[in-house]
Amino acid sequence: MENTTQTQMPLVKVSAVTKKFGGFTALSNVDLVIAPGERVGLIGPNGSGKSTLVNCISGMLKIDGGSIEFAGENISSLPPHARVHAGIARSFQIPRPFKTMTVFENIMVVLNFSGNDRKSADDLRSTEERAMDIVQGVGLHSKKDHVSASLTQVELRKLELARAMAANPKVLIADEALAGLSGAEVDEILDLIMGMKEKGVSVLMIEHIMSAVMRFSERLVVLVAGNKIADGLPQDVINNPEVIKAYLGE
Amino acid sequence: MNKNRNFYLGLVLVLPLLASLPFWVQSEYFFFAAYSVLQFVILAVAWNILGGYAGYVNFGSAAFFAIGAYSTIVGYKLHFPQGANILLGTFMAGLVGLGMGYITLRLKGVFFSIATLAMSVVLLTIVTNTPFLGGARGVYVIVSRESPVGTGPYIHWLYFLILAMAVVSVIISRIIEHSWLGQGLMAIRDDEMAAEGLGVPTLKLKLIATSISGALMGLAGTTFPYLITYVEPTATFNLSFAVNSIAMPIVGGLGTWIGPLLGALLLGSIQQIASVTLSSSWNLLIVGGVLVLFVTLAPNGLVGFFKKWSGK
Repeated sequence: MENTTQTQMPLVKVSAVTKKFGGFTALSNVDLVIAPGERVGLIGPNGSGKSTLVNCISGMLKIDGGSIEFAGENISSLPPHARVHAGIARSFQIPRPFKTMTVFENIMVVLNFSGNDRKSADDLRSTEERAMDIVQGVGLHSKKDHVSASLTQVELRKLELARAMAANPKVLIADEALAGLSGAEVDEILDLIMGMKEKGVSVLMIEHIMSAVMRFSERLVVLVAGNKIADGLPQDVINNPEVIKAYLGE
Repeated sequence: MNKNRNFYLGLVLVLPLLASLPFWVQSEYFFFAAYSVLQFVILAVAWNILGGYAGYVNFGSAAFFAIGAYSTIVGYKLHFPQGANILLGTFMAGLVGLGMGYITLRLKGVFFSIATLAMSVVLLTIVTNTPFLGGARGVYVIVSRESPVGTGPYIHWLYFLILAMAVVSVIISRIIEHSWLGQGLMAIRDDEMAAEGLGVPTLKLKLIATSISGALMGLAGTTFPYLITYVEPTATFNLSFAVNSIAMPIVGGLGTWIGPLLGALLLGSIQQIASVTLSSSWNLLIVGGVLVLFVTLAPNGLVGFFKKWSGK
């Protein structure tokens, strides 16, 4: 996998990124590369800086050092919405729906603002039809006209993913998209995320559920206390003594 | 589309009726009262564009209104025609809206509101200390006795003007509500971080909203000097403008074009009636009372109440 990332231009290239909150260093010199179409799992104990890294890539947080490149362009100083236009979409750890809007309207907002409303020559569907297809794709069509505040936890997770997909990203960042779901629900959502690969979308997934991580990841990255301690094939990484130490102690 | 047709059909039916009032209503006072109510319609509708759609509570409505009024004073002193003064005031208030937005929109919630209140105080101080604008003493505007379109007294003309301005404001507000701009602003209101994180250029949309909202509030103020003919800071920066432009959308229903319209018609009319039957010093008390009543009994305003009542 290391070879493939070196031969083709990486889609996302995080170089020596540092992020501090006052005197606390949340990320120190973190490097991360995501190749086009690659599925990368990001794990680490609580407070290791996973969400901070995601927030730095998506632009919610400004980095204090290093650089973030997307498709060869330095995007370190772009505001979040501009990064969405470039092709980075994310879902939030705790679903953040537009709560006064219906499921359908939630998707429409993203279609209208992410730069994904333009029809290409081979796609003559109207924006409404595309929104409908996305809603159908995540299995929320029966709830299409329900106000999003009335959705259940699984449905909110689906909506969160559907909105990210509606931005037509080149890379999707799923921040604990499976948290708080039951076994069958985990599989359902995971299938949705795995399906992104067929569309050529790279996915960076933060997750605690190890079975899901192992099923999902082509490559696994481990953060501990703001440092990257492992990056490689999932099987190798989970057998890495340092990783075991970080999770289980000495 | 159907809704659009109904709206413009309603407008075509109601507008001639309102425009014909000067031809068969005798009382001149009626038009002063109607002017006041329509002025509040503009303020409420304008406030709602930022406060109702985007959820940013602006306490500085009086400042924007005053910018409109004092722009007219400047234009008047420079012998500009009335139409030019109206455009000037609207433009200036829009510009200040843009500037204020740029400075304050990084603030959230109550901090933004306090910043707008502070802006109002700053502008009041500037006006009070600028002799060209009349300072604390105020400045007179001389208007003709008759309406330039020959229907009778000058107030008829002002009534036509404010009616047209109110209609324009309501149409603009309604267009925004059903456009991508309204959709984006509502996304900001619901969750600004999620909106930004999903591609909504939040700062740009908020700046557009403060500019339009400010411009319309200024518009409401541009003809004020012609109405009272004596402009001084306390009347122009009056608390009643700031309070009413917040209370009216809340009472009518936030975040819809019709809510502020209904709220302004209701609260504006009650205040005018109270001014005649009791005393105008009751006005703010009435606004406060009605507001408390609505917040506790019908928190979604008249619009929410009707929706619930009709079971939709």
